[in-house]
Amino acid sequence: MINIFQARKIVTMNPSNPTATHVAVSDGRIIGVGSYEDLAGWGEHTLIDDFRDRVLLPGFVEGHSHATEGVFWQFTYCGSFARTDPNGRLWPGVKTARELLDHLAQAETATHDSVAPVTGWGLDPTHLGCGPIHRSQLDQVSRQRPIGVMHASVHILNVNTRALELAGLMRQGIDHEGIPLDSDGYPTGELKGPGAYGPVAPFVGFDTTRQLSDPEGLRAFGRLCIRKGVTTATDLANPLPADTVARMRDVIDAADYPVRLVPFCLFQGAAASPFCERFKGLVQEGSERLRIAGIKVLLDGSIQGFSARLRWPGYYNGAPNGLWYTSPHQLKELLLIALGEDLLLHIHVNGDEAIGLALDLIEEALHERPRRDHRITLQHCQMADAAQFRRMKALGLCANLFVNHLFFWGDQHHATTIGPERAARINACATAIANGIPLSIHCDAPVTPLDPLFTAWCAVNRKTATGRVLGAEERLNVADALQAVTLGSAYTLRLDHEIGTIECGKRADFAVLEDDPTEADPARLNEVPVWGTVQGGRIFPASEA
Amino acid sequence: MRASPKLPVTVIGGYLGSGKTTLVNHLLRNAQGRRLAVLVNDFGGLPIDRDLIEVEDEELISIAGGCVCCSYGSDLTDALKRLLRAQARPTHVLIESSGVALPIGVASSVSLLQPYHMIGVTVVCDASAILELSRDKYLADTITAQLEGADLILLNKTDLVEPKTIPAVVEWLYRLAPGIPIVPTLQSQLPIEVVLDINPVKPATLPNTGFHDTSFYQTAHVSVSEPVDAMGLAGALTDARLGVLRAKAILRDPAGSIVQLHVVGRRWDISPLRSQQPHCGNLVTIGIGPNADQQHIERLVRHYVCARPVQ
Repeated sequence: MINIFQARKIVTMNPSNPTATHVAVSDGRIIGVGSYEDLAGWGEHTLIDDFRDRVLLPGFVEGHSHATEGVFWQFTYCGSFARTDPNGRLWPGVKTARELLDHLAQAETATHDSVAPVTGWGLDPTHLGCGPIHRSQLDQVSRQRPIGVMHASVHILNVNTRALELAGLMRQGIDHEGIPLDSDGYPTGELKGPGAYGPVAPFVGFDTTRQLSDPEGLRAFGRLCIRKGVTTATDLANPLPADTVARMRDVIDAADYPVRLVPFCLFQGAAASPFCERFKGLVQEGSERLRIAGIKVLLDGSIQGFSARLRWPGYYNGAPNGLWYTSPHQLKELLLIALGEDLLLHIHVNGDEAIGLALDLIEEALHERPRRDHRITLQHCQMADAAQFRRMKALGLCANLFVNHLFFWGDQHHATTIGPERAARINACATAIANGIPLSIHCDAPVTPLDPLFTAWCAVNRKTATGRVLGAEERLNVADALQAVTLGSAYTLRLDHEIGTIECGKRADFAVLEDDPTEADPARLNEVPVWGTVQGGRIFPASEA
Repeated sequence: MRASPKLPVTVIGGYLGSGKTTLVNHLLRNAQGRRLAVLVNDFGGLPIDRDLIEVEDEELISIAGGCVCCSYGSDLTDALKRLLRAQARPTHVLIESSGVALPIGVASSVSLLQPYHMIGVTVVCDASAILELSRDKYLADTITAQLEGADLILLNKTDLVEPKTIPAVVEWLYRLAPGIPIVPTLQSQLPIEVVLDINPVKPATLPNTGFHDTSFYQTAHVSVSEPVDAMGLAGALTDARLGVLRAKAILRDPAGSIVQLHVVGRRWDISPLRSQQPHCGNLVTIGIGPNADQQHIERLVRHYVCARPVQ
């Protein structure tokens, strides 16, 4: 059975056949792309003209996201920027501390169970024009039930007095770097880092183990993907404990699940060899729509959390250097196995010192175990300078740059974390392209919103939240930015032979847009409306998601 | 309702290859009836010697003598909570922190959990590698921060260096971390009471470790019927010049309450106990060097006895 989709225009991203009007689909795959006459030769078919006024692009591929975004929408969104939920409702965001508290109070009123927590996420006090949130402010919302609001960075949790009481932390004499105290010796309610918020998080609704494979969360994540034209998305740091893959498959293999999910198994421990054995077993547990693709390892922390590892001269505000999350010797061991056994490895590095260490270790490992086309990808890789990009090229690495940071934290990077000069070359997309490095760009949802057209807009415009252009020289053109959210990210996942362009033999995955982003004003690339998706030949309108 | 007593926790830190796992196995092998729960960062590397393992599955290794070992991955808090639900409650918890983690950070996170009682941070370092690591381009600050946050430093693998270079390593450590006792060891062997809990009424029996003769470690046991200025005594016991590595006491303080005093290296902790303690008025210590002997410790305790007890 062949379906021929008619469109106003099909932007194939395939340079040998860049545009077309029709695409024929059989059994979830593309049988041909061209004019109607070209395709009719394949035989009996049905013409689907729903998209005759619309534009098809390859389905967007989000190369660095976390499916927990779907779970977070079960909570109250407390970010400062407008964001669309899985059901299509636009939440305008809170602009002041007062608005935050009013918003939480509404959620509190809507929560019927009198002891249930009120849980918020996406908070960033730097955009509220106020200092840190104090527990007494959250007590105004409720003193009886626990309240917790996770920051956008997912690194800080603000809680009320009741939450501290439940966790046994409403006391004097606490001596912890991540727990600031009032002058009376009691905690302020701000908990910095998982070590500090770990004891409180379960009381305010954050249950991390459950969240890894929560069915409702996965379904909600799927709806978000439809709304933003995404047909393949990574779940980039899932430890995949026992039975997680089976639980995910229960949801994702269902006939109406709209996304190919690509989990990477998080390496968080001591011995690489048994980990890799377990990983190889997990790969076998996957399916067409649930691809256990690779191994993720974290080398340092985040720049805005001052836990990234920076080279001299370090943080602009003089903050002490950040933390290593994996020992160099462990990463080396992991690299040797990955190269020897051809396992895909993605390495989280933010600071330039962490990037340097990753490059040193990869160079050593490649010397011992040479391999072409390994597709080792540096994730985030935000502070890489030109010399580091040249080394990346020499070592055959891919880069997945966190360009959404330019908008959400660009002003902070300029003023506080790394200063004007290095902020201007943060996420240096143009340098990466100039050096011929396979490039992907990403959102890291739930840290920033899942929306590849917005991500492409960030790379094209490099505008911060206040409108400052951060390093005009590093801007991408629209074609390169669109490639980075389709074929570019597919390449880092070793899926470029299957997805990322619209051409014969590939999966029938399309982003269905109301306008042509290649013709749009680059400054308004993010405003091109998304109608929905076609995934594996199945049609998913956003209006019904 | 009577709350169950808090579970003592020891954090064992240090870079890869320093001997943390060897120390853990040494403690398990000599647990002498203690039910130890060992939390490691990951299960993969076989953290436990094969001959000690009774049953092994993906989540838990059961070890001879009622001890267990499990991994904590990225969520230590959750692992510690699960431990409290274990059928046979452990008597002591050992957390082996990862090679680049700051053990002091792990300790402060544990101190947030009410059912647990953080008693000490032991950092193991490889005498043959530490000076080179301390100059490593990427690791220098992490390695030094690990040592600076220790309560007790084990200078391990002392057999792998020329004897004449040990003083240079010790001097470097003294400068880096003044006031933190340094215990030279071979294959992480030492009296287990230095790291674990210690019986307050009975001096530790010191096994011959095959490296030091038994006279290397000093033990003392002091009985005292009068009230004692526990905080003053704690301060004195943690003075590195004394050479005390580990102390535990159950004492009556001047206000008449019964308190328990723990010393691990330079860390001390005083917590109130219920009245009616059978062992009240006892102190034991383990130390090294001439000042940590029975006579010195006895004199020290007498100094902090309060002449006029408050009735």
